[in-house]
Amino acid sequence: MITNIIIAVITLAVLAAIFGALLGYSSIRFKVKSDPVVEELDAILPQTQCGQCGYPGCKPYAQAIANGDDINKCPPGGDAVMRQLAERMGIEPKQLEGEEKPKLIAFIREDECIGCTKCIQACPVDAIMGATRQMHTVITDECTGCELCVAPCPTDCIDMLPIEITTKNWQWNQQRIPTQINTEL
Amino acid sequence: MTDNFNLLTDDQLDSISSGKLWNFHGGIHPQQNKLQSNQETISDAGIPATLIIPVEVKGLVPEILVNVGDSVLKGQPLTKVYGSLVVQHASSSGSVIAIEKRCDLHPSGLSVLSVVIQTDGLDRAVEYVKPADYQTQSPALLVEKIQQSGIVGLGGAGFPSHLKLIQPNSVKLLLINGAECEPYITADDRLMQEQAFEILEGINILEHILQPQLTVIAIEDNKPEAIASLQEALSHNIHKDKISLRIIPTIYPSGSEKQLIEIITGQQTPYGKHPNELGIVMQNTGTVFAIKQAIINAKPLTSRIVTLTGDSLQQSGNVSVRIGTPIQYLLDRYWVDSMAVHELIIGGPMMGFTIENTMAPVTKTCNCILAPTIQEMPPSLPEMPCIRCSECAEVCPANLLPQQLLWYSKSADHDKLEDYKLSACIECGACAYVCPSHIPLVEYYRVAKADISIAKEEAKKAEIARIRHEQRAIRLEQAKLDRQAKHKAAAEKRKAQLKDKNGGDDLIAAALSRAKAKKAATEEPQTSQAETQPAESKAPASKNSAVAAAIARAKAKKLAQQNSVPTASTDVTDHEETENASETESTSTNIDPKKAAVAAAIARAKAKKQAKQNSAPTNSTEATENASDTESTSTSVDPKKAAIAAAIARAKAKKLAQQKDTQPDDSNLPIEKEPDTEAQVIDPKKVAVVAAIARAKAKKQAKQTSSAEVEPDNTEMIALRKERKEQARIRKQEKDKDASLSDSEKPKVIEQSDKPSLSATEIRKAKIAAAVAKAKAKKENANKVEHKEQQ
Repeated sequence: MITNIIIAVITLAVLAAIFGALLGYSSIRFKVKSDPVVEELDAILPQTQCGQCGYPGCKPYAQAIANGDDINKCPPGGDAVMRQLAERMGIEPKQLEGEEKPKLIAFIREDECIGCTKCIQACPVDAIMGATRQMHTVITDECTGCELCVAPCPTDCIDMLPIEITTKNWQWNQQRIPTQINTEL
Repeated sequence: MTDNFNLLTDDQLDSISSGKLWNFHGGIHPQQNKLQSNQETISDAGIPATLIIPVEVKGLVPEILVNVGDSVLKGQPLTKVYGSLVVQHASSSGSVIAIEKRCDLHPSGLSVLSVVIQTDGLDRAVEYVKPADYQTQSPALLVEKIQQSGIVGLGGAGFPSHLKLIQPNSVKLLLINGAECEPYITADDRLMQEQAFEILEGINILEHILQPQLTVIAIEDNKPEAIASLQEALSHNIHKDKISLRIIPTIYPSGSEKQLIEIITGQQTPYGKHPNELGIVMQNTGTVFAIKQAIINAKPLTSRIVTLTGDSLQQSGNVSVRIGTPIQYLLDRYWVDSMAVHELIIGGPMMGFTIENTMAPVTKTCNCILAPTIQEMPPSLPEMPCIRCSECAEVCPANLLPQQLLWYSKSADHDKLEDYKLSACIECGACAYVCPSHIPLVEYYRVAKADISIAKEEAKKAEIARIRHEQRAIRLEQAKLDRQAKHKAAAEKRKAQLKDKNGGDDLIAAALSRAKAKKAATEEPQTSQAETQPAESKAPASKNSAVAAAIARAKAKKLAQQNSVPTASTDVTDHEETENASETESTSTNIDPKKAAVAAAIARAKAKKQAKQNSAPTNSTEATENASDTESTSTSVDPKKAAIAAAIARAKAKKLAQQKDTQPDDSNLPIEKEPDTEAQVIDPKKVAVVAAIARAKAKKQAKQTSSAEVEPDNTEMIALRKERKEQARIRKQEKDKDASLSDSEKPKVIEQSDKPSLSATEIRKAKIAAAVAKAKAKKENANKVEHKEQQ
């Protein structure tokens, strides 16, 4: 009787030791350095770095969402991004805060630019070129349309313009394509 | 990426050359409608008044070689080679009237940068230099020439031909596409009928460039005349054993690149691969003709065959149209019934697109202009829901699942569309053609494809933006650190400089400690002086100057005691000095500084006692006591600080002396009152300061007198200097108001302050006050010590 109890206790103790060691090892061996959720959320966000969510960039917002912040604070991403975020976080989609608008691109009216470099400092993606007392200009391909450069401009010479439609980024008009011909002649 | 696994094997090539044909999946048999246009020979469309030649391709603008106002000749290059873009040429002679954005032949109807030429009707061409035999030229040179000649795929896609001829792999099969499966279009058909020999010459050039193992010309069996003429030409060709003509069944879309490859080789081009990777190069017959023109006749591509058809046109047929000819010109020339025309389609009815602006020019990709009537091509019926009949899947030549693609296109599920290989869709329109629900499937796919490409572009941009943002953050962080380091270094440098300047100490720190010391001294009760002073004097004992000062002080006090007894004497200075000298002598015998310090402390204590007894409890005596206290503490802190304090004191003393000096030196009586009044009026602090000054002076005098031998000379000298410097002093009066005097100026200052100290002693002695006399004695003693030191 007593031996049975002893055997049971010893068995359990040995098992506990083995599993404890296993868990301890795997916690070190398979340690996840950074939160993968943040990376995934960051990948969903549009990377405009505009700060409209109230965080200084997309990554901090991704971090905040991972910590339980609302998913509807990204107007540049619009409804699509909000839904993706909702799906990733496993929560219900919400009404987007702020209005979704088409992407715009900053444009500096160069003859009015005084070369103060304030917009250069404001640009979160270094998409404005120029030097002190030299005319500045926006690198259109790099501009995220965050509008952060508009407010600091002392001469109000920065416009937010819609992206020019070229044959490259033009969208098909569904009514233009004839795919039906009368064959029953 | 060389994947030889996909290359055609020799066995496969053998079976191809044996004449075997395969089938691709699906396909449809729409109404041909080719007879309307393939009866007439190709005619020249003539020279329009203006030619609009687009030079911008997909947003890329090459360097333009002409300017507005330049006269151009037919075949003159308008642009330079730019990347993989081909050169554009003037298609007739005339003058450039504009280089501006004009409506392009594109479903969007958007404007692109174009060169507008006003033709002169003469059609003068540049001199075409007959080139050397192509057989002697290297393939690379010929490929470059093809690019320079502006040749693109004339089948409709407009892919630059030279890119297909730069081969990474050895070419197994050269396929000449004469299928022309799209309804209505007969441009290649007519060209093959009329220019079979030239086409075969072009094939020979391509064989020379590519060195393929096998060449196959594929023609649909609905073009018997073209087949006949090609067979005729082939029988005369030098490479006839290497070239085989393959007649394929008419099925739409057999003219599509991948489908034709499947028909001829039985091989499906793997998803995401280019036929080039299989060792297959395909060229359209029209392109081959253009290559022949370019290489043998040295004529760049300035015109192309366009099928003009549709019931709205009174005259259907194929015409050779100069690139850049406005479509309206062709419509006018071939009698379009503008009332009957329902829509204007560029390309075939299956894969073409409609245009609105008829001023758009004919481009190199425009193989057909279709102007149907509404009876010929009625508007599509309203779209109905998908009934999942799977007709579309059966006809799809790319083996896709069109209904699934439609479903995911509608829900914009890009991942699922990728899974179902939307990008493999060739947009042939077969699915829409068979759809019983009249669903324009291809339209959905085109929109979805564009969406995906935009989304991909956005994702790429977002990634770049993210990287840029991160790098900016790193840069800003680094800049911040750099700035901090710089500031730190600058601050340290400044400190070091200041230290060097002030002889190794911080002025501010010194001032602070001085202030502290003063405070401590004033707060200290007078009774503790006796206790504190010995201790203090012991602490700096190692420092000679401090010891000397202590000794001097002690002596001064002793003297004061002595002086206080005789009260008044008319010739005090000499008497005092001698006495002082004797005193210093006696002290100088005391070699041991510590003993001296102790003795001095005792002496001081005694002196103070006596002073207290002797003097009435006036403010001045108290002040001196306080002052002596502060002095001792300050000396204990640091000799240098003491020196600074002394300097300040001296400066103040000077001021005071100057004030006194304004009155005549000898007249004792009026000045007598001054110290008294001063002492009474001025508050204790000020008195303390005055006392400190007095002490400092006394020290100086003690120093001066300490050397007995030099003493008489010194007094004379001092007397002389006094007069000289008195004048200087008056001048300097304003300047010297500032108490902070640098160490370098010290010696001078000491000399200057000698005079006022002397004069002050005389005045004070005359007053007979015991306390005042004591102070004077102290001063003298101090002066003696100082002087000694100086010497």
